[in-house]
Order: sequence, then structure tokens, then C-alpha cells
Amino acid sequence: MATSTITENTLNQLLIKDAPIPIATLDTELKFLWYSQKWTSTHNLTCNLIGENFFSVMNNIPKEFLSVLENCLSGNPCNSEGKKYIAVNGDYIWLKWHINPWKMANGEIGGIIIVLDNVTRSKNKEELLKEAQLFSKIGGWQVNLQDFKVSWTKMVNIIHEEPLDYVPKTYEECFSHFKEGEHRDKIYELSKIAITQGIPWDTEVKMITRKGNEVWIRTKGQAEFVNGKCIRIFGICQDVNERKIAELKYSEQAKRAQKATSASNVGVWEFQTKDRHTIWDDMCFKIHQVDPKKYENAYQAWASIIHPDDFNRVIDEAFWVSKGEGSGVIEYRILLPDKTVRHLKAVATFVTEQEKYNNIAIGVITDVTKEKENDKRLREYSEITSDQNDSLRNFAHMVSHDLRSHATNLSMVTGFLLDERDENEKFKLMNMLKEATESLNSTVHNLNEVVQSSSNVSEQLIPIPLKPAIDTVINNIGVLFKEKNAKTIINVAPTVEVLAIPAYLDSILLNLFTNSLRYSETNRPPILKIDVVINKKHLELTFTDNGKGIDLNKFGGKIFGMHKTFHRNKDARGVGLYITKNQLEAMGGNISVESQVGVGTTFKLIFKTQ
Amino acid sequence: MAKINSVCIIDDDSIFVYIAKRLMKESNFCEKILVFENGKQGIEGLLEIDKNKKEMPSIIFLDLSMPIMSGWEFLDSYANAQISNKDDLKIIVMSSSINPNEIEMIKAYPMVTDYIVKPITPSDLDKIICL
Repeated sequence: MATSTITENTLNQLLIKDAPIPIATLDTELKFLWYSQKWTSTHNLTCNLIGENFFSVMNNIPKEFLSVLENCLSGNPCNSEGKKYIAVNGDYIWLKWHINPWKMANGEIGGIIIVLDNVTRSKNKEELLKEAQLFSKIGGWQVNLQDFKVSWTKMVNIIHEEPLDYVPKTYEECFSHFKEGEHRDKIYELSKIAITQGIPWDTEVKMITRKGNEVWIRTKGQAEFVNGKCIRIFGICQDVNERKIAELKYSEQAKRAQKATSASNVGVWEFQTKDRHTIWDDMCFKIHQVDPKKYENAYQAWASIIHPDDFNRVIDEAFWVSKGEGSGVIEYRILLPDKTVRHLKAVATFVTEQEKYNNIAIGVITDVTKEKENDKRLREYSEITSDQNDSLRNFAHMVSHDLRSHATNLSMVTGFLLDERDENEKFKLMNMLKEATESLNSTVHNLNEVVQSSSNVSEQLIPIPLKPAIDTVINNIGVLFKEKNAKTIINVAPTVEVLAIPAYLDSILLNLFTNSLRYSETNRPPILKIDVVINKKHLELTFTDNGKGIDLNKFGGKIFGMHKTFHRNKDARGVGLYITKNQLEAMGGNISVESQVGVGTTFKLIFKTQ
Repeated sequence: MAKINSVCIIDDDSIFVYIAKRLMKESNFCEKILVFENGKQGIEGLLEIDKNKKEMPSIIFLDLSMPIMSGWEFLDSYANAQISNKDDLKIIVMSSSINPNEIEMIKAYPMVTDYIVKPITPSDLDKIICL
């Protein structure tokens, strides 16, 4: 604005008054001559200003401003697009001004024409924006497509670690900052689409700074069209490196975790105790073998598949875990539609109580059926091993006891025989020798039977009619029956069959008969009775005698063991009950005994029939 | 004249009894030998002797594995039996078994003086005389 020459007559007061800008004229003493209405509204003034001193009415303008006015009064026009002052009331105040001196007719300066705007508000916003840009590291850029001139804000230079006065010289140079390869190609492609099709872009790519650092930026751009022709592209450039790297790291970890969980077949779940609201991942549904589409929610799916016998227990255990008790491991079974059962193992952790009576548990679940089965198999093996150990110990005992006693007897008797001169005594010793030899033979035979009956033979079972088997045994020991004057009552229908190995069945029956006859009471003839009860898969054979009986309080469980049964009888069949038990068990059956001393003994034998 | 007057053998193995008797005779171990075939006969026999105030054997040779009443049961019955001067009576357990459990179990019976693994030998008898 040039210095104005104003005469009182030419000054159009009305023009000033209605000017749409805050304008005023002051004299050399800074008293108001005229002012626009906009002036009063801009500076919040109500009184009449004419004749008043500038600072006496503009009471929020700091005194420092005087130097600006004085400078102008001395003939220098002053302009400012915005300057920050601390106002009289202590607030910041932004002032924007254009001030020119005006000259009177005589050429002397008569005062100043001042346009003074309070731009505090917009300046504050601008400052905030600047700060925000600084904070969020956002810069702006544009390319004029008519002359390919590029302009950047300072922040773009900072992000690029370029000198603040750097600007790309050519359009091509703009792209050289992006990392060569996929990143640069992507930006080429996106900007081409924006220019040709008007589609804006917003993406994240890597760029290389002047210092050679690799930085992730977010770049956003759009094209401006005039008459269907693209005249410029512009947008922002934001440094998102820290966030992006953290994000990539997280996503990599998340991917790894997901891979790990899916590879290890671990399901992840969440459960809320208050309303039993349950969240399952896909793997949970897979492990429970339920179709998520068939159920309203995961809890319903769970409730439908869990083994009914386990439901209440799991709820109880979950409650205890929520109280901080137990290991947090809850195992349960699921019952599939085809009736197969699978074993699942959940590990639960309760996160802090959200509100009273409402806990949230999170955890994992795995299918442990295989482990359970292995465990079971292992236990079975261990049982078999333990059984076999017992058998071996028994066997060792038998060998230790019986073979030894026969062997020593043989050697002693033989020794005596060699020295004996008396013929009668010799004959007696010869008989003993025969007896001892037979006992030894019999014992070896029994040991053989023990070894054979110890192995599992359930595959070799065949159906055998029971009645004929019993009859055969009775016939074979007919002499013994006659000798003891014994009677039999066999209540077995001719059609009844048991699953057995013929040799075992013979041996078992023979043992029962000979035992009963051997331990018969002398004052009454033996009566041996057999009854059978047929169940679904088993046959129960009851063998009752009226013999001496066994004091079970004394013998107890040992009756089928080695300790009490293995004694030397004349026929050396002392291992009888031990073998009987072994043979029955090998065929999937068992034996038990009831007895009363002086009354008789009842053996109960279970045979398989199917 | 033998040091010991009367001993008793409780064993069902007739051959062993024969051998033992013969060894005892040859080594002049004792004057009289009583034989019972099992624990039941043994305890009944001892009670009978005590009742009739006859001479009690001073040593009992007891087998463990016997039918009807084993050596173990005999020991239990003997512990509860009303027999006078039990302290003068020594019980020697004999068994063919070299089962260490059995030997361990025998130690739980305070009235058992010694344990002999069969066969019985003249040196066993010498040792017993010195007990």
C-alpha cells in the first residue's frame, strides 16, 4: 500500500464506516479520527472512540505495539500476517496488521490508517495443527502436473531426512525416495491410477531416507481434475515407522502363535461364570467334533457333546478353580454320536474377578485320548508284568521248595542205600527211592502245567459240552470214588456248553474231585454236587462237597496261592488249586471259595460262554 | 547215654522223617523220637502229653508246609495253647524253602529257637545240642 494523501474533504467517512474490515484512522497523537464498525466488533468495543487515544480504549493491546505505530508515524508502512503478543490480561493475542501513514495537504504525516485484526482464534488453530503435524509426523506435498513442479512441507523433508530446502527437481525424483522394488512399483501404480482414473490412494510403504535409513510411511494422495484433465496430485506423507514395525512384529508373533496352536491342535476358549457365555476358536469346535453352525453358541455345543456323567463334575471343578483351588486342569470326556468316547484336557486360568459372582476363565483344550489310551495300555502292561512277576515268584518258590526237598531226599536215601547191609532196610529204602522219584516226576509235571496255564489263551477257547467232560473225569478216577464210597449229584443239562481249552477243563475238574475226595471227612461218605447257573455271557459252576472244610479265617486269600496249597501229598498234586485258578483266569474266568470247617466246601467257578 | 531224652518231629514227608530219625540214631542225639504228620496232630499230641503229665519233648523239629495244619498255624496254636513249662521247649523250624521272606517271617515268632534249611545234617544236630 502506498502512502495516501488524505484531505478532510476527500475522506469519505461513510466509506470507512461501512468497510468490511477493521480499519481506523488515527492522528499523530494516536487519537481516533474514524473507524469502521467492523473495528468495534473485532475488538469488542462499545463506546465512542473518536478523539480517544488508541491505547486508552484498546486496553488489551500491549504497550509494545506502540513501537509499531511509532515506526509507521515516522513514515514507514508496516505489515504483519500475524504476530503473537502477551495481552494486558495475560492471554496470548495474535494481531495481524497493515498500517500506512497518511499525509496532510502540506505533505506532513497527519497520522496513520490502520487495519488491525485479532487473529488469535485462527492462529491458535493453526498452531495446534502445526503441533499436531509435528507430533504425528505428517507432512503435505503436491505436484503440479502442468509444469511438474513439486512442493513439500518441511515435515516431508524431516521424514526424508533431507535438508529443509530440498525439493525434488522432477516428477521422477519424487519416486526415487521409495524403496526400490515392490514399494516403489506400488506407488508408481497407485499414482498412475489416481491420475488416470481419479481413484485416491492410502497405503503404507517403505522409503529410504537421505541417510540411508529404511522408514515406513503412510502415503495418501489424490488427484485434482479441471475440465477432465488432471492438473495436480497432492496428499500427505506420514512417518509410521514405529507403529508399523511394532505392528509387523505383533502380527508375526500372532501368526507364529496361531501356527503353533493350530499345529499342536490346541483350542483356545474363554468362559464367563455368570451367564456361562463361552467363546471358542475354530480348533475348539474341531476338538469337540461339533459343527458350529448347528448351535446357537459355544456353551450349547459344549453341553451337548460332553459326556453326561462328567457335566456336573466339570462345573463343580470349574467353580473350585475360580476360587483359586486345584491345579486348573480339568479333564472330561465327550460322547460322540457314534458312541465313541474321547478324552479332553482343559487348562484354565481365571482372570481377575470382573464383578462379584462373575469370573472370566481363559484356557486351552487338547484331545488327550491317545495319551489316555497309552496310559491305560501301560497300566495293563504293568498289571500283566506284575502278575507275571507273581507267577515267577511262585514258580521260584515251588522250585526252591519242592524240587529241593525231593532232590535232597533222593540224595540222602541213595546215600543210606549205598551203606546199608540189612536186606530189609535196603528194601525199605528202595521203596522210598521209588516214592521220592515219583514225587519228583509229579512235581515236574505240575511245574510244567503252571508254566503253560500262565500264558493268555483266550483265543484258543472252544465250546465244550460240560456234562460229558464231567462224566469223563469221574470215570477216570472211578477207583478213588469206589475206595471212598463217594456219591455225585451232577445237575447239568446235556446241552450246556462252556468256552474252554479241553485239557484245562479236564485238569480243573480233576483237581476239584480229587481235592474233595482227599479231604473228605472220615465219618461220612463224600457227596459231591455240581450245579450250574447260566448268565448272559458266563456260566457259574458251583462245586459243593461235605468234606473237612477249610478254615478260611486262617487260610483266607492264600488258598489259591502257593504258600498253603503246595504241600507234599502222596500223589503230589498239591499245586492243584493254584493251577486251577491260573487255568480259569487264562480262559477269562475265575474261582472263589466258601467253606465251613467240618461241614464242607463250595467252590464257585466262572466260565465264559460267549 | 544221649544228652537229650525226647524230641518231636512234625513233618508230613515220610522220607525226611526217616532220614532225620536215622541221623539222630546214628549220632546218638536223643533217646526217644515222637513223629506227627501235621500241625494238628502235633498240637493235639503235645496237649495230650501235657494233660497226662507225661514227659514233654525238649526239642520240636517243625516243618512249615504241611496239609491240614501247616507249621505256621501250629506256631499260632502253640502260642495260645495251655502247655506248662513252655520255656523248656525249643522249637526248630525246618524248611526246604530258601525263600528269604519265609526266613524273615520266622523271626517274628519269638518261641522259634532256630531255623534249619533242609536237608538236616549231622552238624545241624551238633549245633542244636549246644543250644
